[in-house]
Amino acid sequence: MQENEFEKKMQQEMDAFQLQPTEAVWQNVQAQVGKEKERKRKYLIFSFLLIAFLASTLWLGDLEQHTSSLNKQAENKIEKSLAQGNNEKNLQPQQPNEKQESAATALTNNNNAGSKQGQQTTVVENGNKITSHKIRRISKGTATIKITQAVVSEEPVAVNENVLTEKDQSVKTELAVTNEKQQNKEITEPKETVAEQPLKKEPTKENAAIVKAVQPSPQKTKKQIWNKSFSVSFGRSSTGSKYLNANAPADFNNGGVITTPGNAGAGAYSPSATKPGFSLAAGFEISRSLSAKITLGAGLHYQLLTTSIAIGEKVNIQSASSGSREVFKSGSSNRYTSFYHFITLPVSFSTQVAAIKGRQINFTAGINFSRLIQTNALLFDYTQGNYYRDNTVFNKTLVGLSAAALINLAGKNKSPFYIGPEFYYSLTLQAASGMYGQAHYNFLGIRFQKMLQKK
Amino acid sequence: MSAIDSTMDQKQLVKDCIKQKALAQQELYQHFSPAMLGVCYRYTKSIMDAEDVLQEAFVKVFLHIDTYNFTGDLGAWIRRIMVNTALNYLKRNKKYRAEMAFAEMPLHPVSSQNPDVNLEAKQLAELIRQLPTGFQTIFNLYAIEGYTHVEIGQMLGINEGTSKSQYARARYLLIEWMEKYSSSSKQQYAGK
Repeated sequence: MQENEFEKKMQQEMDAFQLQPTEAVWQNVQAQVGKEKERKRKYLIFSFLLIAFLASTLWLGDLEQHTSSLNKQAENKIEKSLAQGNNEKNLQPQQPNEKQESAATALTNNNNAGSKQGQQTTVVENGNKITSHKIRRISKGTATIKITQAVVSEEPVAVNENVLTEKDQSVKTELAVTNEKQQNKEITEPKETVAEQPLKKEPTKENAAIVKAVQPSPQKTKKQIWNKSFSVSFGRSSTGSKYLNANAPADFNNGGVITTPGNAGAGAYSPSATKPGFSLAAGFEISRSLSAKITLGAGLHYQLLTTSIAIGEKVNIQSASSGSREVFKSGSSNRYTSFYHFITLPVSFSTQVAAIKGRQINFTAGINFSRLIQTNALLFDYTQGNYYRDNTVFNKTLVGLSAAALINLAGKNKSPFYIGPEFYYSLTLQAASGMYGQAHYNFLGIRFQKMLQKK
Repeated sequence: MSAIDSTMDQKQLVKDCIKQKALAQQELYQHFSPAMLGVCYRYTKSIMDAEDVLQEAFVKVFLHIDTYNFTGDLGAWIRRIMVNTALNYLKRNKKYRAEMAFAEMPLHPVSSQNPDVNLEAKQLAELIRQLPTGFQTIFNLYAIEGYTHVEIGQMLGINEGTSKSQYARARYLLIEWMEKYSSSSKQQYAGK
């Protein structure tokens, strides 16, 4: 026989060697493949929701920028019209300024949004009094611009004026100051004739001031897009088939005993009741206004939930498949605290529901996408009456609902500081089977939320 | 003739498995599982452990069958997964871990003895399983799977020399046992 003939012969013999596996192997393979498929499907759904959320956020941001650029264009038009109006007014003080009026009207039509009749104001500009203005509000997206459309004054010296205002209070103040100044000027100084007025091509100081006040600074525009906040929550958490484990047995220490004395077969033992524990969550959030009342928020949180069970002594057991391992016997001599660490992506909508003594009350509700990153929770062997560790049983990706009612405790012109009750309920089951097979995570606590910039 | 004996049928079966069709998966399993359990059996010490490895490996096969490139033999591809899964099982299982710590030993000259292998496959497999786990693994990888000592060294994280010396010891022991087994069988038959 040649060298290596032995190996060749062995290969031939072993290639022909076959054994028939038991039926259970195929069933387990099927079950595990199904479980993996389900896990992949959950990841896909989670990824899709995340992408959809990010895309919608980007889209909203883009819309905001687009609206902002439209507004700027409108402001530039108004500024131009004001400058032209002044020139024409100086040349023809007795004639109504049709151009300005049409410019303002055209602008209003261009924006083509719901216009709203506002208050009438009186502004004196360059010694010329405007008796009446129709304030129009142009809305596009989330931004709002008010346009003061001039109405030809009956006074001989009246001129048209187009004033662009925002919600910003500072504009009104600016207008009022201008008004007051010019009224004084009107009383003390004689009106200048057209001939005496130099032909000005630039906008007047007053117009410039108004336009400047109207134009939002880049910082202001940025502030309107995203609000950042930091939040911390403390409370009680539990896992159970009902909220805060309301169905748990009254006697916590009775867990893990033989429920059917004399019959220590399958199902003879029951696990300890799960007792609620301390919980906290902390993280950052960003939010933006979708409309005057509704705000969309999203963030990234770390969440810790704890529960406790009664257990017996720790023992080492030997098993054929996995060798020696630590388990806890049933009993009530010790208390074991289970920690669940999550990374959570909350997506929420909030709305102002009321205001008490000037303090804003918001209601927030949303969906939390969570990932269980670590746990030390024990599982229960119903046939042996032992507690053991097996993290593979727990569902890692969870979807839950959260809600909070928050009141702003900060004073006016200070960055808001909210406080209020918060609730969370996981829609996804804690585990696929076993003692947590019908359990959901839940939490009730107090939330503190600090906005990181002034409102 | 099995439905997946021809290359075309095999391709179609793999495509169906990629589409997660349960019937195709079952057919693939039924076709390959007996031979693959034989592979797993040679690496472990009990049929239960062998079935555990088989189960874990087939889950991997079905989850990653889309990575099969249709160029090589499907059976050989599945067999590689079985072997790798078995090695991982041995490394992480306490029962085997201690014996998988390959101690450095002086290089044992490979025996040039090439005895006739007159034993049946089942008897040979049983003899291989009697070897200490380290010897058993290296013998399986070198003599039966056909890996080189360099490859075995990389797979197990040991030196090429260690693999060679362990294989030489394993081969020596096995030949000795085979001869004893053969002679005792002959005596049994002679006695009858």
